[in-house]
Amino acid sequence: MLDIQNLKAGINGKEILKGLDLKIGAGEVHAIMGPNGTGKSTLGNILSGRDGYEITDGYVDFDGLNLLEMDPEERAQAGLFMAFQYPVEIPGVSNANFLKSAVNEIRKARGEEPMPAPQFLKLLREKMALVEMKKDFIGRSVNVGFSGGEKKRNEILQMAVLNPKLAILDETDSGLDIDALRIVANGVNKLRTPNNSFIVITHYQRLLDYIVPDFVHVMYEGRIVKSGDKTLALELEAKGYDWIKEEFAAI
Amino acid sequence: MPITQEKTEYSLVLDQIISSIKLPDNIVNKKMEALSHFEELQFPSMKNEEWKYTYLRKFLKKGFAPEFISYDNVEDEKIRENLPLEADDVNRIVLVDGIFSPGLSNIQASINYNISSLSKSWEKNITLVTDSFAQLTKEKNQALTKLNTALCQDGAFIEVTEGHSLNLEVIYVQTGTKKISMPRLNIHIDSNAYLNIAEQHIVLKEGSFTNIVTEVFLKENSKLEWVKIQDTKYDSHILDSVYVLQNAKSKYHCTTVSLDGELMRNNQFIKAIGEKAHADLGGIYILDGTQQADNNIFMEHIAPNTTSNQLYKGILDGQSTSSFYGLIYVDELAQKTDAFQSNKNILQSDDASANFRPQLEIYADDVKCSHGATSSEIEDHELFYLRSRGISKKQSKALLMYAFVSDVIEEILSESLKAWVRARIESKLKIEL
Repeated sequence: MLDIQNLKAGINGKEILKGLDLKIGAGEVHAIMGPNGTGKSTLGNILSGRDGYEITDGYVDFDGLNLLEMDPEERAQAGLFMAFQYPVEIPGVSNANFLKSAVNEIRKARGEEPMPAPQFLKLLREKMALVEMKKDFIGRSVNVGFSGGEKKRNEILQMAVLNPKLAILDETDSGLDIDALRIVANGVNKLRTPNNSFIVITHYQRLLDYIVPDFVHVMYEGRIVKSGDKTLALELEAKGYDWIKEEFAAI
Repeated sequence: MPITQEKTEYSLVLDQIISSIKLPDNIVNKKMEALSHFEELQFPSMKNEEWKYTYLRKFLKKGFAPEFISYDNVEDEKIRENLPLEADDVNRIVLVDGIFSPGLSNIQASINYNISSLSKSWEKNITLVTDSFAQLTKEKNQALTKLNTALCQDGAFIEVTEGHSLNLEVIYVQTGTKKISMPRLNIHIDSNAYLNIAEQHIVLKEGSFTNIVTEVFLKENSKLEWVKIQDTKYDSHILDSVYVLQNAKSKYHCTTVSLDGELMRNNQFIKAIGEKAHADLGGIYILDGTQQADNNIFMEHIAPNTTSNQLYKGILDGQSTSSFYGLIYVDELAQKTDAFQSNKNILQSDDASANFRPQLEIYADDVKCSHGATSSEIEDHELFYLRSRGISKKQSKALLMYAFVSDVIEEILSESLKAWVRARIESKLKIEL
């Protein structure tokens, strides 16, 4: 599904990713953990195509496509999705219209006809139930006046409607209370299939109690320095990141 | 009194008007007085502070001049083909080059309101019209308004009687004669009455220049909601001046949407003379090429507890220009005035320019006045968010532009007018939903 090889990238001349390797297979959930400032969010941004980063080396294959050459919309059309840490507010554009626009642009790019309105509304209602969104949400402007938790739920809703092959959740748990966390995680779990993969970027083990990963990676100084199964996350929770730093320093 | 001076081209036009229709003496006098004022003032130059960013004479040099317009060419069936479809419960006024067209207009008889051609109401000497004509405009030294007062030949008289309401469409048709047309509206809204106007322009070919003046009298607790859409197929020139007198608790709500046209200049002169009068002025302009949109607001708070709100938003591309001149005047008696003014622009090109000049003249001490202006670009992180959902860059930009102006749209009270503006802006921005 996704194969990142020796990715080096930075911003304003400062290198942040220093030769990162990561392989993700279909149906897998990978958690990426690590202390602040180690490049976790940079990785998410680069994969989803945000401007402003200098990519100096490496290759990213996404289902046979050269991901780094693609525009953000082309990545989304190819089945990549990023759930943002700070979703943008779009006043005057309703959630329904925004999502319909996204669904139909993706279908257009794939040579498909626009989705008929009744079918779209049915899909939207179904997915809204998944993240426990109230009915009035359909007509409300995208993220305007939403609480932190609602914004995150809205990201998961968008993900559910667009049904991506690979979804990146960038600190989706930050700022969520336990109820919102449960709703968000529940939404993700219901979307897990043998074909869909997830990258869950997080600081804390907490989210991984709800979204149980197949693999856990620790990022430090722009690289993945340790990988393991879900027990690695528990170990990090218990011991903190210092031992990772020490191990890394010893190399 | 013997005439010693040689007649100017303008006074020759006025002579033609006077000999074509039967005008009451006081109208003739007001027109002559306005003409002499105009001849003193002349067309404004860029030295005039209000015209600093608008080279009017450049536009006039394209060969536009005031000339007498025949009253007989207003029933052309070709014009009808170009008019939008009629809604069921809406009265329609069609003015062709400023002349009221009885055939193209659609007025349902009712005791709730009076609508007629302005020239007919002069001929019938309806005192409400003849007394109020130029009552609001004479105080201001606006050359183009004086020119309209002097040389307007027709237009419409609209009265909504006490406690009633009226939905009205006003359509200005320009046939492209190179003559400056001078439509005039005279609007009276009685106590507790409500008028709702959807206004638009239909330009049939190139070479149009119109100089519209409206006087509005809002009685106690009356309401006017007005949406003006300027979106013409051919390069047209629209000068539009509205003079409003607001009595106690009246509401004036006007939204001007300038989407296409070479020059779209909108002046609003509002005088709140009754307590708790409220004015809401909104504007959206989306410009490209060498287009220009001006909005000049003169908001006078004369009575205490009056409020006003000005919100103007523009998106400029190419070498387009906008100018916003907003005066808030608070009389010494107008305590507890609450006045807000904002002009925000998105510049899409380095050659586009948005000019903003706020002016506050405050003579009362217990007031709240605020103003602000910004020019910005579309934010990269916002654009990225939309594109990351699979929406093309072009469509994402269009959605963000829509989002930028949406608060002006949302302030429109009437649902039907709001839907109309939404649809026109979506079509202008080529938004596919």
